[in-house]
Amino acid sequence: MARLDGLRALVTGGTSGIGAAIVDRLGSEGASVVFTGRNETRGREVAAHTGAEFVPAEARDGAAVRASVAAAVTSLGGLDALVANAGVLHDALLSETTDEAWDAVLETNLVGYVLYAVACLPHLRAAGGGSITMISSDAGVWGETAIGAYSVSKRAVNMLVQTLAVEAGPHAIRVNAICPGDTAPGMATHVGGRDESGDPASWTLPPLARVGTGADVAAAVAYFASPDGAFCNGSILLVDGGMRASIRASAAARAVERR
Amino acid sequence: MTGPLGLDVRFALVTGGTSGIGRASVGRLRAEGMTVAFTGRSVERGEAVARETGATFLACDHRDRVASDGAVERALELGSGRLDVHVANAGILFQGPIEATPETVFRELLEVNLTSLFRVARACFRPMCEHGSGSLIHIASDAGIRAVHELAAYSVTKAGVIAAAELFAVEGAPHGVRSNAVCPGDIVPGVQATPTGHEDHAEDPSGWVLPPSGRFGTGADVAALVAWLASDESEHVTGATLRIDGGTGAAMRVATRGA
Repeated sequence: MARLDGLRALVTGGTSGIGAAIVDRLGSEGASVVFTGRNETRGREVAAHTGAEFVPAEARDGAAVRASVAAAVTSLGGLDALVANAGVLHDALLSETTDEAWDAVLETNLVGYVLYAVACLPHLRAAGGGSITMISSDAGVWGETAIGAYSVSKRAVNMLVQTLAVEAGPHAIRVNAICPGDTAPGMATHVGGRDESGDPASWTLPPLARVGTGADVAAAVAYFASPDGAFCNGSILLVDGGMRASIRASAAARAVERR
Repeated sequence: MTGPLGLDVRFALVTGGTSGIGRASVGRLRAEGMTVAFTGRSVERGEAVARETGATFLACDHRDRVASDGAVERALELGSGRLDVHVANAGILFQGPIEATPETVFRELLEVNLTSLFRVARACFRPMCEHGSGSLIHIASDAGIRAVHELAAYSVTKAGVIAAAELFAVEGAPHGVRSNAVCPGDIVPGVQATPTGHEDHAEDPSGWVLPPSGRFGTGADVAALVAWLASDESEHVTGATLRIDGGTGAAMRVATRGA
């Protein structure tokens, strides 16, 4: 029997990158998965590849969020796990961030997560408990000036996870955050200014001397969603190869390169 | 008048200066000899504070972006383009967990507590850089460091404030501009500013537990820290998150190993 047999999961932003890897992983462990996204072409591709069901939705729009949750619950016959993943990145210093970019980042990464959590909580309670896993970022643990608004949004997400963990815990709903470091392929949904998927060759490496993969993050999601993660609630889990473990962590990878 | 902190001839903008910590900060900075402009929603209270302190009142509701921009422009005119200190204090609170926080209320807290703080700081940042000095003082909260789940939306937005304070610090340091987050604990009488129509969700101090110091904080406690951060006494302090809570946040206070 697979670890996630019988699990009914909703993954937001599942059409590319980390989200697509999560959809794939949860399905491969036996879960029934519905995933959302904005790009219908990529959504159909991921659905064909994984057997999961695609529901188009814009994470910033409360009505669209609630409609996609209702569609997922109807299709799955209930809900045991929400994976909030839909996010956008914007490359800019905070002082040079426009209102338009700020609003896009905060609305998608923060308000979108709030909307999905609030829409899913009654269904998770109806199922007798479950889990919410929010994909945050190592930039939420320790900010990066080059992605100012994104860093702010992810710090707020980590706090959202901890408030929700206390709020939902008594209903046997566990709420946790995963904070990936640089992961390739990079975020395809962005607010201008960056290559479609970023250039991993230009990234500073963590002590493990490689960039992360969607599969690295998906493995952590599967853990939190499974009974193996039964006592994790309010956890902020870094999946970043050690990048945030020390102020000068990146020097360790450069030492490896020199050897 | 010249105070011991040497703040005379300097100019400060305080947002949300008509009550609480903001009002105390306006009074303290004036007492130190500074020229001060402050914003606020209540014209009646604003004019009273202006009469009492000699500061300039700029009526402004920071939920209105056009009005907020206008107030900052007027403040910069008052300083002839020079601004030494910005105390980002305007904020609202909604007592309740995430699920009991209406979508409109969450968005309103995000707009006032985080987005308007970002927008005003961004407007102040450039003239400070051009002048080669300045101090951005962001009034966050201890709830931005560790979750207070009964103040969920407030906690989440204040976590974002701390992240923004750190990012402005790193950006501003090469230009002589400092940025710090002040995190007050329980300050009597609690945050009374709420989203419109939700006055019954102001902060309820009835459940407060006394800090290890044996008393709750006051606006004057926080204003003293604000004055220090405004002065050159703190010139190497930037990107700091300063709790001012009588020790509440220093350790978990629930005895879990028996008495």
